[in-house]
Amino acid sequence: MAESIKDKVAVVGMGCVKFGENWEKSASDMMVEAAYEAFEDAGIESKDIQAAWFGSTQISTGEPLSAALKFNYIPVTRVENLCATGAEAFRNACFAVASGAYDVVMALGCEKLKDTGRGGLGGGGGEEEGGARGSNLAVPGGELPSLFPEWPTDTWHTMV
Amino acid sequence: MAGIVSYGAYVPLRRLGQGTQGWRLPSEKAVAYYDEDSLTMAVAAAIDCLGDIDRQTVDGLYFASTTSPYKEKLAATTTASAADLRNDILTMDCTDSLRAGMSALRIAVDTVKAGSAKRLLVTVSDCRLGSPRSEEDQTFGDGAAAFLIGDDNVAATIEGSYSVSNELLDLWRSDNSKVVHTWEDRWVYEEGYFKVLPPAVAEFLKRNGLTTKDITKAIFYGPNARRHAEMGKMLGFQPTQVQDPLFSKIGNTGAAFTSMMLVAALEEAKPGDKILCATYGNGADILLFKVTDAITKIKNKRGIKWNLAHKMIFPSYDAYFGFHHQAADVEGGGGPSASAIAREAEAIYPFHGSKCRVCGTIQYPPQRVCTKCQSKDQMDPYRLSDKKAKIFTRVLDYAAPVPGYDAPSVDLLVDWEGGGRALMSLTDKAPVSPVMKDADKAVPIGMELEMTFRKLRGGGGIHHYYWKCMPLRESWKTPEETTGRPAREGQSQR
Repeated sequence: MAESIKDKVAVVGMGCVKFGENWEKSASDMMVEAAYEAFEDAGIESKDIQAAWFGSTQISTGEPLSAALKFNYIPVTRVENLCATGAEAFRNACFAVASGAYDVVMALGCEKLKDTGRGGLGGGGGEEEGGARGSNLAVPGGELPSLFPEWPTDTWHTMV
Repeated sequence: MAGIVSYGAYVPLRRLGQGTQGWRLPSEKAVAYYDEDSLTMAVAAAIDCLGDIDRQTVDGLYFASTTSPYKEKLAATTTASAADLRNDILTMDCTDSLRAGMSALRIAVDTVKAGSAKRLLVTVSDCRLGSPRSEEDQTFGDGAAAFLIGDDNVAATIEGSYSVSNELLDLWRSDNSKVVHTWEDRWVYEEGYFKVLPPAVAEFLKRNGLTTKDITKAIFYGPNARRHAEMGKMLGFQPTQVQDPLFSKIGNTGAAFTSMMLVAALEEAKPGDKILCATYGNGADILLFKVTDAITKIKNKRGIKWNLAHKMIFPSYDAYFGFHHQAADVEGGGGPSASAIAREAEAIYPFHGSKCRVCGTIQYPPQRVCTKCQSKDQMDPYRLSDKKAKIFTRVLDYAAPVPGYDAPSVDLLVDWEGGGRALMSLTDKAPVSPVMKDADKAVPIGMELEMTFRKLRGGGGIHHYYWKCMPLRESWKTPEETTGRPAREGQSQR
C-alpha cells in the first residue's frame, strides 16, 4: 500500500536571491548566494549536504552547481520540467529524504533569463537560435506564461 | 623630451614560402592564422612591448589599423582590456590609411608632451587581403608593432615631424569590400607614391636643417621590394642607410609596415642614431627619432628578429585562403551573449583568475568558494595571461568541427606555473597526422605552453575573443640549412 510522504520531511533552511535582471551576477554567483543563505538558515555547512537536486531549464547538468559550491563526491541530479522545474526539484529532494536514503539534501533552482539580448522568454542564452527550445509545443498564443490564466478556466476544455 | 620608452612586435608563426604547396615565389610572407586578426596581433605586440612594466602605469592606448574588426566599436578598448590596463585611460582607434600607425605615434607623443598622459601605448597592426593569387595578395603580409610613449627613460626621442595631406584614389578599400583596390599601376606610382613622398621627405629635412647624410637608418613605406628600392634612390639614401624592408620574409604589412621596420631598426640601434620614418597613404607622415643611451636597457623583446626566426612554413597555399579570404561572415548565426561577456569580462580579457587569501589556491575561472579550503568570498584577482603553463592532460578530437588544417582540435587541462588549472584550447600546434599514433609526440603530456589572445567562432555580428594556449614560440626553430629541404612535413624543426 503506497504511503504518503506527508510529515516525513521538513524544510530546515531556505535561501533566495533577489529576483531581477542581476546583470552582474552569473548563475554560479546566484547559486552560491542562495545556497549559503540556506545553510546559514539551517545552521549547517556545505559539507553536510548528502545529495542535491538542481532545477534549471537552461543548464543541462548538475555539474555547475557542484562546481560553484565545491561539493565533494555527492550526487547532483539536474531536473527539468519547464515551468514546473522548481516544484520537480523540490519534490524529488523530498522523496530522497522520505525514502530514508538521505538525511540532509538540497533542492536548488537557478535560471539566467536575461543573457539572450532580447526581452521575454526567448531561447536560453545567446548561443541558441530563437525557437530552438520548446518548438515542439504547438501551442497557440506564444509564450507559456500567457497561457496560464487560461488553463484553469473552462475555456481550456473547449480548445482542442 | 617625449618619445619611445619601449617597443614590441608580433610576426605570425605561419609563413607561405618554400615548402608551401602551390607557392611559386622565392620569398616568404607571414600570415595571420584563422584565429588571429589585427586585434589579436595588437595584443601580442602590446604585451611584448610592456614586458615587466607595471601595466597600471599606462594612461592610454591608441590602436591603429586599416583592418579593424569593427566599423563601430573600438578595438582600442578590447586591446587595452586584454593587456590588463586601467579603465580611466585614453582609448582611440586610428584607421583608414596606411599611415595610421605613424599618425597615432605622432599624436601619442603630442598627448604626452601636452601633459594629458604620462605614458601611452600605441599598437599598429594589419591583416589586409588582396584578391586571391593577385600580386597584392602575394606581397601582403600580416603583423603588428607596439610602442610605449612617455617622457621618462626615453630610448628614442622625437626630434621632429612633418605631415602632408593628399586626397587621391591610388589605393583604397570601401566599407563593403574585403580586398584592397588600386587604380592603374603606373598611375598609382607616378601620381601617388613617387610624387608625394619624396617632396615631403625633402621638405622635412630642409625644415630641420638636415641632409640625407645625417640619417643613420631610413624607414619608409613601400608596396613591394622593387618600388621600395626605387624610392630609396629617389630619396637619396645609400643602400646601407635603408632599413631592410623584409618583403621577402614578412611581406607588406600595410599600416604596420613602417612601425614594424622601426622596431627592427631599434633592435640594432646604437645611442646617437637618427632614424627617419616616412609613411605614405593619402599623404605622408614623417617622424625623426634620435636614439639615447636608454636603448641599451630594452632587453628580452621578441620584436622582429626573434619572431622572424621562430616560424612554421604552412603546407598549402590553397588552404591559406581559408584563414581569412573565405572566413565565414560573423553576421550569420547565433553568437555569444553580450551581457554574459560583460559580466565575465575580467576572466575573458585580462584573463584574471582568483587567488584565495586564506590558503593561496589559484582558480580559473574566478570562483567565490575556494576548492581547497572552502572559504567563501576571500578572493583576489590573479592574472594568468602572462604565465607559462604545462599540459596536465589533453584530448585530441578528430571529429570536432574545426577547419581541416587545424584538425584535430586539442582541448587541454593545463597547470599554470605558480598554480591554477583549467580547461583550455590549443592553437599553433605542429601539424598532427590523421592517424592517432603520433599524438604523444605532437602534443605530449607536460608540454610547455604560453598564453595567446585569439579569436573564437563569432556570430550575431560579434567577433568573439578569448585566450588559448600554444606551444612556446621559442620551440619553433629554423633549420640551420637553407630551405628547399623541409625538416618534417614542410615545417621548421621543433
